[in-house]
Amino acid sequence: MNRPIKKVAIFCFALFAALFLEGNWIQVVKASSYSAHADNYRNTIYNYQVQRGNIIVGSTNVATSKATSSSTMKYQRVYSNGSEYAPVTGYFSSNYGTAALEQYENTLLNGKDTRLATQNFLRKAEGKNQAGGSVVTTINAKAQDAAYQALTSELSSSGVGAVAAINPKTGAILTLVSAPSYDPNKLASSSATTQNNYATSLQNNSLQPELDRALNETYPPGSTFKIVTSAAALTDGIGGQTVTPTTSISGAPLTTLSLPQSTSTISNSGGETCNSAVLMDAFAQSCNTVYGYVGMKLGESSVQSMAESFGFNKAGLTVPMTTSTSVFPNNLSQAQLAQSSIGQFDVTMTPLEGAMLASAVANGGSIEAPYLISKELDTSGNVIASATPTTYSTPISSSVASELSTMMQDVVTNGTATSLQNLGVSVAAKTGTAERGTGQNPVAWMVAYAPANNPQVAVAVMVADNNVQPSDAFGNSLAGPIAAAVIKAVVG
Amino acid sequence: MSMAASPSVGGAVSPPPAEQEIPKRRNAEAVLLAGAWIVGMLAYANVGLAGSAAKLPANYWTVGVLFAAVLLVAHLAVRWLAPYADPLLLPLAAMINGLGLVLISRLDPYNIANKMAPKAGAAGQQAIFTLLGVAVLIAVLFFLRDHKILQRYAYISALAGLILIALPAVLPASMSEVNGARSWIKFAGLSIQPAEFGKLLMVSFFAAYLHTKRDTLALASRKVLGIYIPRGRDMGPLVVCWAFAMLVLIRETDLGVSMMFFGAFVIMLYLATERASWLIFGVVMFIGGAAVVAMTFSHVQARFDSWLNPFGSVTGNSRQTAQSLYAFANGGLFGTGLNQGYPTLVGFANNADYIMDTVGEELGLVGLAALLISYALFVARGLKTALLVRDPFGKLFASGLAVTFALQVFITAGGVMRVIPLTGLPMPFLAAGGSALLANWILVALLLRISDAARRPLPPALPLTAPPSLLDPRSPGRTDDGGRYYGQDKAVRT
Repeated sequence: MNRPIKKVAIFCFALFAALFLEGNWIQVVKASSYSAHADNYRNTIYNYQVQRGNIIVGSTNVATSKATSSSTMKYQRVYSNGSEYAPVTGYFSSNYGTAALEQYENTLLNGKDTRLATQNFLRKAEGKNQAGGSVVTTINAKAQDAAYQALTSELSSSGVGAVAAINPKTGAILTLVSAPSYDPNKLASSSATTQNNYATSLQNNSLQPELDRALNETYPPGSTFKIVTSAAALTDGIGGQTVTPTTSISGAPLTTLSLPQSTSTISNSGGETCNSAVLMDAFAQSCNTVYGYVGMKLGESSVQSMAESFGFNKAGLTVPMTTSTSVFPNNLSQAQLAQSSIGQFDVTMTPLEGAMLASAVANGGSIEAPYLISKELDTSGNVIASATPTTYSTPISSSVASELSTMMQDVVTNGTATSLQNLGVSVAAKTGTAERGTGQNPVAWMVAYAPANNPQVAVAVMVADNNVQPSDAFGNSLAGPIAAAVIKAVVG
Repeated sequence: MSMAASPSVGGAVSPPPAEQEIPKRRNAEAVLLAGAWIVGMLAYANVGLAGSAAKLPANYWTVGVLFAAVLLVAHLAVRWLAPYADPLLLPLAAMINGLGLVLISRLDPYNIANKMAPKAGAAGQQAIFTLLGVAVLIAVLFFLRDHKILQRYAYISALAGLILIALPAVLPASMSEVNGARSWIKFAGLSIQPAEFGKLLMVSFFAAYLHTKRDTLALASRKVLGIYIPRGRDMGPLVVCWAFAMLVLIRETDLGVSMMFFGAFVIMLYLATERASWLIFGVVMFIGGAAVVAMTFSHVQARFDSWLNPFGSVTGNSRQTAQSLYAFANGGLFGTGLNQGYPTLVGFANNADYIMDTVGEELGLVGLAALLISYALFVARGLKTALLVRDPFGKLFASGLAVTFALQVFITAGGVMRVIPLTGLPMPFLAAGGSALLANWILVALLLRISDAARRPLPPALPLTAPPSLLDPRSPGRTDDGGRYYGQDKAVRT
């Protein structure tokens, strides 16, 4: 009977060999793939075991990790001024994942970044917990505070708004505010119940406080788009004729622009009649009839290519958060082109794009790519990377930029942006009041930069509030004071 | 060790030549047991030091002394009752049992907090059953001085074994179901897995039955296309066992017990007859039957589904299979270290069917391989015993026990690691479960007993003038099979 016993022994050996091979398969070959599965809760646990790095504004940590007494969730994420900085920090939640810098800088913050490998290897050897690197943002705390306070104190319970401000010379983002906002502390709570209740309340809120309206929502730009239309006119000319700010657009109607192949017309705000068809005056008064006419004369390709060189229709701008794409539509009829040239019809833009419009004019024609991270730090706080400004695009020449600058300053001194007068600095601006559907107040915009002679800040403010008297719902009255607050905080 | 006092029958007979020395290897066993103790104690220290308190467990030295005492008693008992027994069996069982205790105590805090264990934790119970297990080991060695005695109780064993395995299937679910598998008997606050005892009885019966029927089964067959086809009437036992295995599978939702039981039977049938055709018939019948059952019964089908598609559903049947794989993946090559992984994420049965998760995650592939090698060595020593022992019943019995053990390890670990569909068998010696632990210690005792017989030198050749008592095959000291000679012991018999 010994011969079959030996064969059975070989069979038993094969059983164990199969187990051993499978062990190699699941513990070595497939290990990283299994570990990356979304429903593998170990990822969450490990995230909470690392002393996650800080998100820093100036010298303040707006997001930091505090040690807890729990053995699994060793660190608790804490946000100071959470709602104000939510569009910057995002949240770090065991049940709801991550957002904004917490998401886009996750590998640095959680220490998995290869640049931290040596440091964390040494920490492990010393028996310390793994730690993450920190992120220093470009945010100007004073401007952020000013923007958030001004916006939230102005908004009614059914209003939304956003502010984006950048340094036109570098592209550094100085302000990123969205309202209403949310408290990331509640989403990072160690209590799953708190997280779930708060997430449910956010989901049930029709104003969607979790949105980052400054980067990820687009709104009709209204008259602020006249910056682009003007740029196209000044660059390309009309009908072979060179256009300057003082050119009077011949044939442009001052009261009503009838649209070809259409029964609809374009009129001016409040049905007013414009003073003149001079480009600069029409710009200062935000004359729709003149600009609609200019757009039709320029043609779709001229307006569209100018819009695209300002950043419209260009996907993939990252700051590092991926921003939504501002849109200038295609294949327009003449009527649609006229409406699009005054920032209506299907034209939409993000508040960040609004700030980029101003920044192109402020920076002699070129837009510096916006960025939110000025430095990345290792676990001991040494700088491992610094931002270097890069040019995003150069939509206009410096001469056109200086012409537009004159026009935008005139908007403040002689035109619609009266709320930006008397700030102690000369301001260049453009208002916008974009019509929306019936029953909804317009989207009020202010796009500005200051000081006009040595620009330090380009800002765009968007306010959409249904609880305001329609007669007050203008860019100058709603968005203007907030832009003024940001300019004062940066320049003053 | 020199042989016992040589019989001096009839003063004229010259003493027989001195027998070749058979090393008993008891000292080697003692050293290995010390090693098993050290492995357990280091692991237990690791659990404490890696915990939140970062110090040795409060009962560390109490447990250490007690564990050492248990091992010492077991060792002395073997020295006394089975001096020629294989020196590896006891230390391997002790090491895996000790490691299992450490793992169970490591998982206890979670299981107590989530009300998955008794309030005092499962480790205390397991420790008590370890003590009982060693006590039972000694009792079996003491009362069962010759494994061949079991041959006489073949049909009683069969009846008792069948009842034990089938009982949960006929009991109402309230008395037999734990976590979806109806393989338990819950009675007066106790819950036992009767199949664990049943498997020993059935293996004993198979060995005895096949020992008597082996010639009929092997020789009375026709050869068709190079395969020996057994006669219809000889197929009887195979069919009965197959039907029984399928019954267990359907009624108890227990592919594991069914596979282990039927697999052991088919392999023993092959051992007895040396006819590979039995293996082919057995495997085809089992796979065919299991496939039909899996397609017919939704609860068996669910097991197959979660095997084929473990990541299909986060919350459904496959959740535990996926969680199990995540545990192994997280362990990687070297593991997280004891008490530093998250094997409890697998949920219930983390210290029973899924205890290999903790091994894989916290000890890594290295620890897993070491454990698998320990199990494989245990099986190898069992089969070596089968090779050495002289009587066919002993051969069949020892190899049957070893194969059952190997199948149980494969079925359990293979299910957790997704080699085969998951089933509900406890990992021998490692998993929490009193009845399983007792049964496995009995298995060790039986193998020790058989290996003692295998390695024990035969009594000296008998002079023709020997008194009648020495010719009586039942007389003490006669360990061979009533004077029949099987040709395995030339080195011993001079």
